[in-house]
Amino acid sequence: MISLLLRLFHWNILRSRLQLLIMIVAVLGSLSSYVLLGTALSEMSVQVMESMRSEWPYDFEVEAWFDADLEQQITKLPGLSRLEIHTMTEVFLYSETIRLLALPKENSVLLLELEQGELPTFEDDIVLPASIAMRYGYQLGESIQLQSVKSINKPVSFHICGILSGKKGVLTYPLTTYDGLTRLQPAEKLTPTALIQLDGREELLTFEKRLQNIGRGMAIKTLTQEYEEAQANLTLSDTLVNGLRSLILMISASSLSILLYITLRSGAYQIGVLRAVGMEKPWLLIPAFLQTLLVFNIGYFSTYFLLPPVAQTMGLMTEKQALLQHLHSDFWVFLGVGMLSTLVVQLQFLSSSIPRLFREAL
Amino acid sequence: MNQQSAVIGKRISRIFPMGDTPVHALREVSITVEPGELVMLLGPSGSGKTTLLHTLSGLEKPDQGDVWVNDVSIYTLNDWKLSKLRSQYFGFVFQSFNLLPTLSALENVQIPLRLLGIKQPVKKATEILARVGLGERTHHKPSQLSGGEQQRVALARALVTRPKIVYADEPTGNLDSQTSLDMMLLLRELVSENQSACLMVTHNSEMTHLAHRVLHMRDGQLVESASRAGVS
Ligand SMILES: Nc1ncnc2c1ncn2[C@@H]1O[C@H](COP(=O)(O)OP(=O)(O)O)[C@@H](O)[C@H]1O
Ligand SMILES: [Mg+2]
Repeated sequence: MISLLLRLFHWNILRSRLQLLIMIVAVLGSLSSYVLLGTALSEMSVQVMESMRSEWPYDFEVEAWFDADLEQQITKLPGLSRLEIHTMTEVFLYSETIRLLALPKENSVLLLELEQGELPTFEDDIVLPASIAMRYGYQLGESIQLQSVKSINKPVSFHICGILSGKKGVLTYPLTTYDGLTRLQPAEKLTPTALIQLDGREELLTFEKRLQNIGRGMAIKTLTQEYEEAQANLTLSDTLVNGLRSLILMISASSLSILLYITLRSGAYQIGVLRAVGMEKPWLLIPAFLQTLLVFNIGYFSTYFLLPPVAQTMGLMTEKQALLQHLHSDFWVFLGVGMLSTLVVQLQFLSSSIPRLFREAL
Repeated sequence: MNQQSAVIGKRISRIFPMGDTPVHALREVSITVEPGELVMLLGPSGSGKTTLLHTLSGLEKPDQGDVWVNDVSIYTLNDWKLSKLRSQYFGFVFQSFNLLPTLSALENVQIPLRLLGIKQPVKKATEILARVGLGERTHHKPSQLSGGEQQRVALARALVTRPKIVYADEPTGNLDSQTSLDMMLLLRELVSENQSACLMVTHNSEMTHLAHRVLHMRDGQLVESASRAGVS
């Protein structure tokens, strides 16, 4: 029986070499565009998220004494797109309370574009944001007195070594070194703050619960204003691209179905003969499924080799590895759709009466 | 019910809905084929011969009436059981394209044996191919065989399971007259060796002397004309 089915499969292939080739090309084309669109979507959402973000692009501030373990636990939370650990404190400047930041370690999204001077290097260096320099008339090279909100020490004097640009997106808090911060508040009281950015898809509340579940004495503060807007925009672009992707899926499913129909139709007479002599319907599904599997696997491998160069020419920044990963996971969706259309076309064939198979073939 | 009969059709009607004027392909046709009997069905094109054959052989359900085999009304069976019944009790020879092109003659003949799970399919298929005179050509593909040889393979396939009845729809329609005659003689011999019945559609009235009984069809109705086996 198995060998008979394999022969049927073999016959399917011999009979319809041209259609098979077209099918493979169709799979190649639609799978590539499906994957490329998906990859472009991820790139686009990163950009959407970034363009939607202000100079303080974070959704959670979490105060705690972080160790490697805790940091890793948070990094692994679903929905997180960025985690930075900063040190900061609150100071009085005249009657205002402002936040003073230590110069971030590498890999921060904060934009530190200087208008004048340079970033702080010594413990009494400070860089002022454009707004504060303007409001109080501070100039580069002058000194400024700051007093910690949390301790009763005397005001501490800093030397203004730089002024940040007033452009949109540039940090609006003053900036000193870590040692500069310890002059205002002793190191053991400088609790680090984790600044967390979400991917724009996760709900804030859900993520907050996850953070709370970790426990470990973390003080969690949620920043809501801009996230919802970014989320809405991302949802829009997601909807758009997912719509396009489903369209590609539907078009490829229907074109495959048509090709499949033509292939099967050209063998309808013999299928009719086989059914007449008593072959049960389910057996006849197997060769068609094998054929679809074959077409999709060849399609997959051709895409595997052709996609990276195509993506590169198109200027997609995603790395080859990530692209192939997309291909890999999208392939299953595609194969599922292919198998489903095979089933639908086959059922359509198998549900027609045997005399009709005889007639249709001629 | 006569338990001996190979197949019984009772008041079979088949109507094809064709817009305003439906086609009455079969009008209350009743027919019984006895075991070992060779019945030929003649009639002008479009008189309903093929439709009757399809109905009696379990390929297409009639609109009215029923078909009995072994005291079973076959259209009450589900598709799976009906397929089984066809492979067990019926053999088929069609006008053309009977064989799967990628299978050798031997493999084509084995199909019904494998479907029924009969033991020693190769041996049985080889034997019957030798019987139809193709012992030397068992490994040929259909494309390597002449039309007459292909129909002999089809005949071998139809008879290899020793069916109760063989249905043949113009099996010699694509063959020249000498090959047709050879084919008919072979069919008659094999059918009687197997004690199978045979219901054959043909438009060739020259062959009717080979039949035990000849039926004429016209406008979906049977016109029986008495006839007995003639030449041996
Ligand atoms: N599927 C069908 N749909 C419509 N009409 C059909 C169909 N099958 C057969 N017919 C009609 O039924 C009549 C009998 O057909 P058929 O049994 O093939 O005749 P025969 O085999 O004697 O030439 C014809 O008029 C034919 O056109
Ligand atoms: Mg006919």
